[in-house]
Amino acid sequence: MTIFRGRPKTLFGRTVERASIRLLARLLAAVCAACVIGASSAAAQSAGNAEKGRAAFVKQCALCHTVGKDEPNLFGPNLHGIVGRKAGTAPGYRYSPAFQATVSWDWSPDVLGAWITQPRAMIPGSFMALFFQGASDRDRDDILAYLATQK
Amino acid sequence: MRLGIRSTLAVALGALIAAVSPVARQSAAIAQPTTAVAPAIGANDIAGVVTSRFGPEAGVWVIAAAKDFGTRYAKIVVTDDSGRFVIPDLPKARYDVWVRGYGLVDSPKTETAPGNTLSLQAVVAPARAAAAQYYPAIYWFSLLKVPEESRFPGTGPNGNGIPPFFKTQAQWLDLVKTNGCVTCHQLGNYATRTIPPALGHFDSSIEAWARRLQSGPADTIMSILMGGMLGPDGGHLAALADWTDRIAHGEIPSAAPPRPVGLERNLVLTEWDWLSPKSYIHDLIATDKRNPAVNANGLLFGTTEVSTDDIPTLDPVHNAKGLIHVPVRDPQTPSFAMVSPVNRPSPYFGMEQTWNSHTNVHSAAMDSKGRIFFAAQMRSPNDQPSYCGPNSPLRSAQLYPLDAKPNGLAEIQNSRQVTVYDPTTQKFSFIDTCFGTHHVAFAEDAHNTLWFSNNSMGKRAVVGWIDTEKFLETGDGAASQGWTPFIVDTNGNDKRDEGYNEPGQPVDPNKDTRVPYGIYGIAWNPVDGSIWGSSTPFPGYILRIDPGSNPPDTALTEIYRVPMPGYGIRGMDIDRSGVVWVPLDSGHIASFDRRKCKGPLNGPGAEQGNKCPEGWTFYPLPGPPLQGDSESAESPYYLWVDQHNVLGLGANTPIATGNESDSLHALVDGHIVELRVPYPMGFFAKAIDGRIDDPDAGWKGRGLWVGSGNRTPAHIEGIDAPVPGAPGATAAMLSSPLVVRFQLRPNPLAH
Repeated sequence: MTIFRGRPKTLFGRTVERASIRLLARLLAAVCAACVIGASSAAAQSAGNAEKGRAAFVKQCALCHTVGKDEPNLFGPNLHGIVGRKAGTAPGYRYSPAFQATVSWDWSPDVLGAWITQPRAMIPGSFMALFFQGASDRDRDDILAYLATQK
Repeated sequence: MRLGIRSTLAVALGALIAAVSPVARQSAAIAQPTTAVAPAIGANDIAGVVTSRFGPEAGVWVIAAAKDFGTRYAKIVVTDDSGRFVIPDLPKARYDVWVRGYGLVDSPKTETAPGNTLSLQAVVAPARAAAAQYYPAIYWFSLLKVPEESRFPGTGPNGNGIPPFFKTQAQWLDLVKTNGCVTCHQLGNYATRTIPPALGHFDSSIEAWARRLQSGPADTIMSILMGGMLGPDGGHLAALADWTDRIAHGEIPSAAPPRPVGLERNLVLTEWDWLSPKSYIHDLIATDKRNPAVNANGLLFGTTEVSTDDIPTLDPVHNAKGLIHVPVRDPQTPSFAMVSPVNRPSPYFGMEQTWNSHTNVHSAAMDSKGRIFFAAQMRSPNDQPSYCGPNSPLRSAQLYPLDAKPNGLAEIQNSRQVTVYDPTTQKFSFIDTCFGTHHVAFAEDAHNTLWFSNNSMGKRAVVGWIDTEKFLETGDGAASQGWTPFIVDTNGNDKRDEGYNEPGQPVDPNKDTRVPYGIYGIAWNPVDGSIWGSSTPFPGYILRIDPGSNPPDTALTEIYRVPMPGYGIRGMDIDRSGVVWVPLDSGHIASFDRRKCKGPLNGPGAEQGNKCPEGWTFYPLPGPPLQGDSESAESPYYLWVDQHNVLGLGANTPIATGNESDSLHALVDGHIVELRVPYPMGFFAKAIDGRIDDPDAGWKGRGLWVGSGNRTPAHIEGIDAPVPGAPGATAAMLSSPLVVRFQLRPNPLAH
């Protein structure tokens, strides 16, 4: 069966993450992350609509993430209180090696906005980057506003 | 009574019209005889006539179910043109007998015993909605809306919302169908077209669907699949929510299934359940495919994949089911539970980790002595033997070492080895293979070579083999194995050379080229001894491996890409003429006949798979399309060729599993004969075996053995289901996996 052909070696037939290129990927990821965060900084500072953000979250994020206090980690970590939290610290969640090797930041709105819209550019080998194309720029601020209410 | 072709067609058309609309049933009934006499029967048969207020009911099923055997036993037949039926050869028990058919609702159950003759009253459905509750899943699945072809290619979240990965609508449909959700279960049966109340209350159906996909041990798998199909509008997740919303508000299928006609009415189904609702089977083995008389009247064995180490057995002669515990060689062999955590409760089993197999038994082959070779895990995936590396005495390892540890779940899942079981001694033995194992196929050669696919892409894409004669004689599993990567003769010199182009690297035209497409299904060609396999990356490929005179040194591969209108492959098989047959989720059975190829099959570009499009032929499968598509929504999983005419439709009949249709699709003279399993709704096969128990007993001495292989047996219509097709109302009433025997008698009343 190929029900497991997605994580993390292949997904839908695409080859991803090889041990031999991990180091290069990490270096590139760090560089790309800086670029992406810089590019998205101005937009992320504008205020979003939390109600619209909840609707967008349900359509694009809730499959893998809970946001309520003490709700379980799923395929992705629980996001309660994520805004301002140190990245990679959701209790009990097993992050991908690529994510662990790359993150060194707090989830400021700028960084979080960049992550949800361009996960592949920031951390190519992370679980989320394996399959999720990212939220639209249009939805980014609304989702951030919604996440900011979940604390 | 014998009807001419015209009369038969009239009855068939009448049945179809009747199924579509109860209002139209009056005219259908007028076209049928109004009186019939129940046929004479023996002491072990139940016979009778089915009538409704419109007269005799032709092409409906009569179901006899018994609870006396400790297994969910049922026997099912179809009424003839006059509404007559004979359920033959029932073991002694009390039976509930009732009528199920398209255009009807289930009749009340009549309790009876073998030797009795019944007059059964069919109940005409009061409305189309009531009739539709009995339709196979595909009719409900067809209400699903998919993005129109004009929306592709995807341009991303800031473009048209569809992920850029999807270049075509066909690529999207492949993941909506067999190579997505339908890899594991039907879409459109009652369990999936409704939202189980046990999931909770939600503000929107999208939230309900997100929560549903987080249920049980398949959370990770479902999240990855669906996560790749999300978009700002919710993508496929929103489409599923919209689908169930419309159904909840009363939308019903616009098309209706036809009743069985012609040969389809000669079908006799016998059913048992085995294992438990919490575990599932992938495959079933009954005999040696090369000689279907092997293991006559013997036990059937199921393979349980990641669900449990206890594989089910069925003694169909005594209607007795059992379990065999498959061991591992190394105590540290990990359970699949490690990588399939239960994060949220399932509606059926709460937080219980129901997938807890260490052995991961996927498929099996039986040899001429009844010994079974399982593709099963017996050690940790990380403990590759030293003889798999480049310094090994094994020639295969010298040429293509397999000493790297598996990288990721996809490779871990496919890092099985071989476990051998001898039913006579009830002893297990192990073969520690360097290559992963998945599907299996015996060659008809002096070594009884057993060939293995491994469904791994990239570096680990190889085909492996075991010289089983050598292993059984010496016990030396290491020395008995070999493998080869898939090397295509791209320099066109008709031989395999040392050194080759690697996938994704610049192509040197003077070299051969390795292709990274591991194979899923596998079959041995009786014409020339070549090995064929199917490879699942879109749009699907088939590979031909010619071992040559001295494998692995001489092994060469040809690769053929499935051309449009076909796409979406999983299993495959081959007939005695060497024609390859594949099921496609484009809604087709396809054949590839290499004898039709006109040009050279090697040389530059051969690794692309575009040679010999003239070798392909496509046969549309029945059933309505999804909304936004034009081909059948059928999502077939596997295909088996009846090389020895076990069923009686002719030697070399290809039979595809009708995973959305509660059926098998047999291709006879270019047309589909639909072998439908009407009860319990939710039949979903992944493997077919055919066995001859008594060559002198005609149709009674032979049949197909088919397991219902969905990974969610609880989705199958439960015992005494509260509504048609629904899962059982309590844990005790949930369905277990099924075994179904298909037999074809010469006429609907033979006994």
